[in-house]
Amino acid sequence: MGAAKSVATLPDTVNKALEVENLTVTLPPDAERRLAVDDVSFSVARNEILCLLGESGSGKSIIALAIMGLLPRPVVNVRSGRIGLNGQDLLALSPRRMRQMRGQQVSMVFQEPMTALNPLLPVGDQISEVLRTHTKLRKKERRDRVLTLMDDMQLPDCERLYAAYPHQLSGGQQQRVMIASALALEPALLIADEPTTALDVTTQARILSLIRKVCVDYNAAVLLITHDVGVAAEVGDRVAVLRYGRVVESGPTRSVLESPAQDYTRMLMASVPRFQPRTGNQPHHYRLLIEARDISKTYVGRSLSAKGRQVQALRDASLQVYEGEIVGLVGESGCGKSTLARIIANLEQSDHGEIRFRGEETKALIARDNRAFRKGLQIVFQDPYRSLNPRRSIGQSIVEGPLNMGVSSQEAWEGARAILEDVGIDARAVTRFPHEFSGGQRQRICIARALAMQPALLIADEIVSALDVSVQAQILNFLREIRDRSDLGVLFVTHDLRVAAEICSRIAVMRSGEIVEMQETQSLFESPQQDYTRSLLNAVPGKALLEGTAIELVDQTDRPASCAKAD
Amino acid sequence: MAFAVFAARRLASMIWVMLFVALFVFSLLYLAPGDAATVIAGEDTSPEDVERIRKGLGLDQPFHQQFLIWLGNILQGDFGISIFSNIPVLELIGQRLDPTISLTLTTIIFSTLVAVPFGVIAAWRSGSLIDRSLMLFSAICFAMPAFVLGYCLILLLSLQLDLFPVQGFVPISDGIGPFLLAITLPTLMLGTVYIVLIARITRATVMDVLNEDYIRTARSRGLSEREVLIRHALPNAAVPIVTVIGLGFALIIGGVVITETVFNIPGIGRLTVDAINKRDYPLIQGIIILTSAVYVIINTIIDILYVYIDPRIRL
Repeated sequence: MGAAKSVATLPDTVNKALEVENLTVTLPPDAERRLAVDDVSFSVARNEILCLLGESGSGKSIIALAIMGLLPRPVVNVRSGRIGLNGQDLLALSPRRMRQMRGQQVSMVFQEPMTALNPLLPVGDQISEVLRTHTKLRKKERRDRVLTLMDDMQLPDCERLYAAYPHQLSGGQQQRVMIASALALEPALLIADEPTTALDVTTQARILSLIRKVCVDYNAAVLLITHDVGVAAEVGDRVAVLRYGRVVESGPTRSVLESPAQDYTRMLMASVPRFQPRTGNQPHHYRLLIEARDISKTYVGRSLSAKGRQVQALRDASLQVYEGEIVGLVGESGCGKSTLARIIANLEQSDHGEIRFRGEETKALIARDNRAFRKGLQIVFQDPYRSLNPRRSIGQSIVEGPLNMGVSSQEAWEGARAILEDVGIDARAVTRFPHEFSGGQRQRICIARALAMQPALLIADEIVSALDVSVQAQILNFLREIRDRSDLGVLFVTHDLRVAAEICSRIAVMRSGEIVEMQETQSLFESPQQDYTRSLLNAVPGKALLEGTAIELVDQTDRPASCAKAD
Repeated sequence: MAFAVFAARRLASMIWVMLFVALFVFSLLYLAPGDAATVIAGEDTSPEDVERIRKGLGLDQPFHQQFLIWLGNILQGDFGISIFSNIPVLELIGQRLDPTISLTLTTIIFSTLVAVPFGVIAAWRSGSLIDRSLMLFSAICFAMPAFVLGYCLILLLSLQLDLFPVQGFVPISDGIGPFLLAITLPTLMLGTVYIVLIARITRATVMDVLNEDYIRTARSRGLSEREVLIRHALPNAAVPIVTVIGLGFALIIGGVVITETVFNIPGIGRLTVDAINKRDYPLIQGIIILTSAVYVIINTIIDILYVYIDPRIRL
């Protein structure tokens, strides 16, 4: 790349494309806080990516919608401030003028590409829609332009894909279609709201590099909203850290993330799983708890036409969990990891293979003593908002299992209080209901519910995926604690290698229903045997930066209860 | 190609349903109290004569044989002869078909054209005056018996304002003007409930759809609200709306009795009532089989429409 080129593509820091000044957005009176966004200022130049980094509820998406003029009014309103786009104040525009700006001068890419595309329209038509709305191009010209755009987004076989419906595309392809539609008229500003959060890690890496590329190719200012420090580190030129609707600190990505000036940023950085296996995860017992041997499972799709489609979800998958260890089961979406977990829990039946629980074949064990098996094995699911019955107090949810096992009522309630204290929730809260708790607290309640059964094996299916990093760090700490003081074995199912590296002694990597590699965490990271594992490791965003800062931050991760009380 | 296979499969399943209906209808008659032979023979006949008539009708045969004979006749278009008028059932029904079909079609078309835009706008501006008036209107219409509405319409629009004829039916072959004039009031009476039903379903589904992410995407592209509604919201809300319109067809055949009575229209509804009152079993059978066939055909059309509306519904 020549010197002239790099000069030409440097961010134009003098003439900012987007300037947000003292933006304040109000929430309805019954909301948690009064202001969604409180006196926020930042700017983005063309050819520049600014990352708005914040946890849930920080107001980052509200800022995006305010710029787009798509706030859910009259519930949420801009109270004061200025949003300048190429010198024009967007807040002063009439709704009609603002509508003309959308898609043309400012456009947006959303988190969930599957739901962001209309399921009933071919994707080509959806991209073309922007051109139809804002230009006088003829049908043929629009089609040609769309095909060029799709090609620019590195979509394969564009002619055929043009007529395809969203559900026929992969998640990554869907997001490329969204980006193509957002860039169709070369807008001054592209807002990407968590554009890779719903995608697999390898897809995420490709989409991030595409955003990086189009930012320059299309001479656009990019405002990228994310909760993921890794993503910010990977693509952000600059970063602004948001909390409770305020900018905590901002500046060039490296300096903010490597030497944060504010406590909150430091806490956030400390919560991020390091990209290095932690020590001290080795099992302290060596008794085999559960063993899955050569598990295969094929699903036969039922359709109205006679031939069902066959999907082989699992192929001869084997793994073992010992007492007192946490085993990671890692893979991308659809690789079969949850199916394997469900089969181990006997929630589904395998076609072939066997499962032994403490040496005894589970089918025989269940036939002999179903309760012993159920009690010995508990599951916690991904979404804490949906896995607790909203009409039962959390105490009722927790005692249900023990009561079914014949524990006396008094004992069960005492146990529930004790276990709540264990997971860091006030025992007096037993009579409260799930909606009164935050996501992180609910997940702890779910774990408490599972542990109340005093299981030997806990299956944790993506239990931290829906949580903010700071909350995630607390849950991981907590799991480590239980493991260290008991014989509990945990099968930890996750899509995130970073999280697995934090707590697992061994990791099984799955792909297309097969376990391609199973190794001790340390050696998996140091010398992965399979190309697929290597590509997973390489795809982790912000790897370079996080590896660089690992050592200085490790101590803070272990800070005890002080931040556990925060959520 | 895949579509043809799918359609053929649907048609095959239609045949099964119709067979089941035929069996049911036949059992109805078979199990019905009273003996057709005794009825036909009249009061003062010897038991030997009754037995002869019974043999002549094939009523001494076992159930399944009787059923097969009966089914064979129906497949050849022989639905039997009305006991009371001595006219073939098919001919009787044929005479009454035109008014009922006309009324059903005008009602469905009219209600759909009024209800869908009404529902979409109510959903788009939920809580607005138009939305609240829809809700009020629907409460009133559901609460008011259809015949009361019918007589109110006659009183106001026919007797007071003299805009429409009070009663009667004019076939479309006698000119579109007189046809429309005569069918307007019955359509209004019969249609009101469907307007409310379709509008409320439209409102509810469009409101759900408007919360979807792709609606936000459409707005982020700068589309006008009209385009957002027509191009993105309505097609995605179409499946439940089409279902309700289809159900409407089925329900109308029940509702048509009252309307035909109020407006003195010689349609299937009144034929049905007469047939039941007189226990004219062959006629009742014929009507049940034909109306079920209509239901089944409409259902199949709706199923095929689903696939057309939503590419995710697999063939």
